[in-house]
Amino acid sequence: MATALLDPDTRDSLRSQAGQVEDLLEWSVDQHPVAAEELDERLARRRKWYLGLEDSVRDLVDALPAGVEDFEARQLFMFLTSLRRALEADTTANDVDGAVQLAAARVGDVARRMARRLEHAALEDADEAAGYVFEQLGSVGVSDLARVLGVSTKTVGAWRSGKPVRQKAERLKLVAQLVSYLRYSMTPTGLVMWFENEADLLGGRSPLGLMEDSVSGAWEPLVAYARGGRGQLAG
Amino acid sequence: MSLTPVAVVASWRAEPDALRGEWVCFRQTSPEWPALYHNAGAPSPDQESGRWHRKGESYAQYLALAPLGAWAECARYYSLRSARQAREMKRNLWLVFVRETRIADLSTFDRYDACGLDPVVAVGGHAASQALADDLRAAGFRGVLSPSAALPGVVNLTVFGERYERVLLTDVAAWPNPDVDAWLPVQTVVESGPVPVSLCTEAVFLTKKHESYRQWLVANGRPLPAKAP
Repeated sequence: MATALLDPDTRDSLRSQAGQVEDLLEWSVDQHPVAAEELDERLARRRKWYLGLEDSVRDLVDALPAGVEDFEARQLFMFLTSLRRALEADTTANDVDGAVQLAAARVGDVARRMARRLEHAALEDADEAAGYVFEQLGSVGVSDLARVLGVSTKTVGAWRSGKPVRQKAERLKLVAQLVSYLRYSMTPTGLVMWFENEADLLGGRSPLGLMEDSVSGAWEPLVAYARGGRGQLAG
Repeated sequence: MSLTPVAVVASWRAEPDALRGEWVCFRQTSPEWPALYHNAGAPSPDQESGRWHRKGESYAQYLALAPLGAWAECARYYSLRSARQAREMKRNLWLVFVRETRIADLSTFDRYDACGLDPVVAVGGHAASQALADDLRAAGFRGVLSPSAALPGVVNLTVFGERYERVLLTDVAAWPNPDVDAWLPVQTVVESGPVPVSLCTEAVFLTKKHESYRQWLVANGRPLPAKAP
């Protein structure tokens, strides 16, 4: 799916729809049932939940440029089908074998992956990347921002005021991608420190140092380093 | 991550003991993500490589048997050498309850040695441990206990494969796991918390010598390597 070529409104709409699918999956249909709930009520409630999820998935896929030809769209439908079958097989609505929860979790994996892909696609536009970086690092001083982005404080001011990005666009896009991976794991100040910190996993170099050598050369190792922070790895 | 020679023999002379048991473990993650690593339908396994798996080939759930062991992995990963930087981190800490079978017991350097394996596999570069993981998986092991490279004295438990978390508020051990190949019960311990600052000095960074490994070498009359670990 060429998400980078979508207009911003469509991308925002897609991201919102992907988020809606994620929200529906977060709304745990079975984890805290009311003790007095009758089987019929429980089955009806689950059916309603599933239909809402199915509608959201269909809306999301319909909005994708490639529609059902999109790889992730096909994955969504495949796991959605597994979920429907698991619900149908669970005639007592208590999910003893965990099949309903597992199928729902798998739909969630795909929805999360789609939402992330849409977010990253948006950041392939330099002006959007600038807005994103300023939004995420709003509390960071302008001189710190200038250092991270490799431009003057004057340029930071111009970008902040909405002037188009005409220099260091690739670096800005890489910074935005990295911030998107790291923003939940550290504060804005911590993010600046991450860029400046000499990291053993980068051979003792800092992300800033690698970007200053070559943005294209830094892209892969820095994205891998940022992605690897998702969860514990035995080092 | 490969600071030691990779040509360490991975296969064993004697198979490690296969344990059946229950372990209370800890794992830290980005608050953006679920407690465990799973990504159904991804074109290929996309978890960045770690000590016991290679990206693109498989998944692994990396756990520590002590909370500071989990945090130490974070300090080591991000090279958190200053208290200020540690305090700017925001990570979730999870308790993960594992009830498993066929866990390879390589929980001490002695156990590595008894199997004919070089104990540096536990704390050195990843190529040898990834190769050992291939052998363990092929032999039907479902995970491995091994000394932590990040914090001496701590043992890590790595469960091979993809698992989904079932987040519970109460007794994780009491949850009747419907499918141990799919699920692990977890509980939130810390939400978006900083890394303990003591680890800025106590964690074993990649360039630092692993003192308990070195003590084992000395105690067993083995030569000390000039460089880390």
